[in-house]
Amino acid sequence: MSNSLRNLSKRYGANLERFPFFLRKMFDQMSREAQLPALSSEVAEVPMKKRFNKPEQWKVEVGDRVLMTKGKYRGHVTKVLALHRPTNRLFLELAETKKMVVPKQFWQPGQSTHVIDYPRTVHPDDVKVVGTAIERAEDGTEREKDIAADQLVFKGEYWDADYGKMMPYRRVRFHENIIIPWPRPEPEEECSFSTPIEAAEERTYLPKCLVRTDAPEGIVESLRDPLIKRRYKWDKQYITRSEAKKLRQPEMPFSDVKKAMFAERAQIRANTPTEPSTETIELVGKLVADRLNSVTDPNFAAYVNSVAPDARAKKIEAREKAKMIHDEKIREAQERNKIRRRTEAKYKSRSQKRNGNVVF
Amino acid sequence: MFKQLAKFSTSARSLARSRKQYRISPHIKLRPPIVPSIDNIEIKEDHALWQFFEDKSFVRTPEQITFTGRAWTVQELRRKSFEDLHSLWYVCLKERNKLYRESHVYDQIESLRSQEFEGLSEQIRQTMIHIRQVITEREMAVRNAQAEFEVIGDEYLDEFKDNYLKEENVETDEWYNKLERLQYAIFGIPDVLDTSLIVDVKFLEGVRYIGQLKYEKFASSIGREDIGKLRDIAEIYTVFEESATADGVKEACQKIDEYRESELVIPGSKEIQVVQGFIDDKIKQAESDLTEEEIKE
Repeated sequence: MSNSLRNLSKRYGANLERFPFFLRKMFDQMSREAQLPALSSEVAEVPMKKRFNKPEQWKVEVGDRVLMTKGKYRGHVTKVLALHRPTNRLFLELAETKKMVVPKQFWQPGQSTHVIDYPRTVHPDDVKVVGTAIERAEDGTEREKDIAADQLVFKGEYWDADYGKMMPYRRVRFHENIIIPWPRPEPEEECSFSTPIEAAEERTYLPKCLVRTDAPEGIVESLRDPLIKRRYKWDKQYITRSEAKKLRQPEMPFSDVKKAMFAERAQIRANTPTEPSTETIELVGKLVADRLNSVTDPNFAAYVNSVAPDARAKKIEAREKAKMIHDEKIREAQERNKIRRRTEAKYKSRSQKRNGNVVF
Repeated sequence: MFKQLAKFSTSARSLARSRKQYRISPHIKLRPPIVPSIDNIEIKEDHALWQFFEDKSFVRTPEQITFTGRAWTVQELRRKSFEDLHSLWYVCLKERNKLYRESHVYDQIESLRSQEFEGLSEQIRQTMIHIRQVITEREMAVRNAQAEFEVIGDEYLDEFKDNYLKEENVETDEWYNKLERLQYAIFGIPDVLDTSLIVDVKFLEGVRYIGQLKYEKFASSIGREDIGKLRDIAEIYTVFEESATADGVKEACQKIDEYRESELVIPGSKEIQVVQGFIDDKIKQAESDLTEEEIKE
């Protein structure tokens, strides 16, 4: 069994996606520790779901000029060399490096030592895209000026033939008339496995017949498992009630019967009281008061008192009273201390006059 | 007579001592053993297992399998005929077999190189999944269309008939094409019949519709309303077979007159058989005509 098959199989392969997050993290860390530092990236790989796959997420493309806002080269303008997709980070032309020991089997052509300077990656949030704006001076001369977009917004789309997909317009936030165009990608080279464009675009099938296609009969059944237990979703022969409701357009205008029903419903809604009447409140209050007044258990009575509507006010009142008494006591003590200090000072000055300052 | 004893083998010696008295024939000449070597093994050029090898090399280098492309998308494959999809499927399958074999070689020595082969294999797998999707989608679309046609089909055919009968001049290329398209689209009757064609209920339905249509259109204009209602499939097929012109229908009517003299009526259970017979006869006739022409040339 090939490696990929083994990984795919539920039984024989440890499918990390099936484990909870913390276990996955632990396994990831274990595998990172076991790897040679040269083989593992500096930053942990991002799980598949969180990887960027849209230009709006990356904000930059290969070939963009960017202003670095963090690190040693803060303030420098460089070029994006590559997107490192497993970590959602960028390789820049001008970047900090780290010393790395590379095993000999991974040496690049022309390499002569084990230790190399390997460029560090940068997060797209730590760079600002640089565009060019044309500045018109008062005397009418035009001058090109670099601008760095603090924040970007993506509004609108257009077909980009070079990228071969719809690309969003990259605008400067709060100055949305300024569009920073995407850089032109390098044309893709053909490899030995690629198909010529003409062959790929050639049309060889047009549905012309209701009775059969150009495929042999029973082709769909041959693609399927004949012993499958559940039905294929494509074979669904029915629609649910909610689906039918969505598919059917409402009958307009409404019939008289329906209108009458709506009026009746509105009447019922209007007549239904939203708040209890005073009589109801009084009745309920009387019943509850009777019940609570007849409580004999002292513990339960204490509990009832503690949850009574005025319990909180009473509690606050008692606390304020206690505080007042406490403050009064403090004030009295301060008065007493004042008198004592005065008396002591009096006697002290007298003894000083008699004996002089005694120094031990 | 002197018998040579094989002395180089202990088993031979023990056999010699045994009661059976095994001896090697004196006429056998001992030659030096053949050394097992790759040069001594010959493999046929067209050996089936060569399909697992690219250019008969053991493994490809990672440079040979670097790719810049992507898998075929569903949108691209929707434009391709079944024949194309079928051949693409087998191209993919063979390539994946090769890649699996090669990645297995690297797996055995626990090399990470195997992942590069699997990366390409995964792209090819995507293509294969898309092929399956396109085929299923196409078949399902046809089935859905058939189900819908059962609901609105009669209405559509009636409308077409009304338009055809109302039109003053139907002997134009536009109407010939329309008829041709209709009979292929709805009844699956191709313009040129060949041996692979199988007559079924749908085919008969088409024959009946087209034949009746032509007859109704041209019967009054050629003054052959005396025939009345077409009685059975043989008569309808006669009209169907002829071209959609007044002359064609006229010719068909003459044939019907001849046929009615025999006073044969084909029952419903034999209709398919009879029409199949007509078609086979016609194809045979065409083939014999062709061969005659070749002989003349």
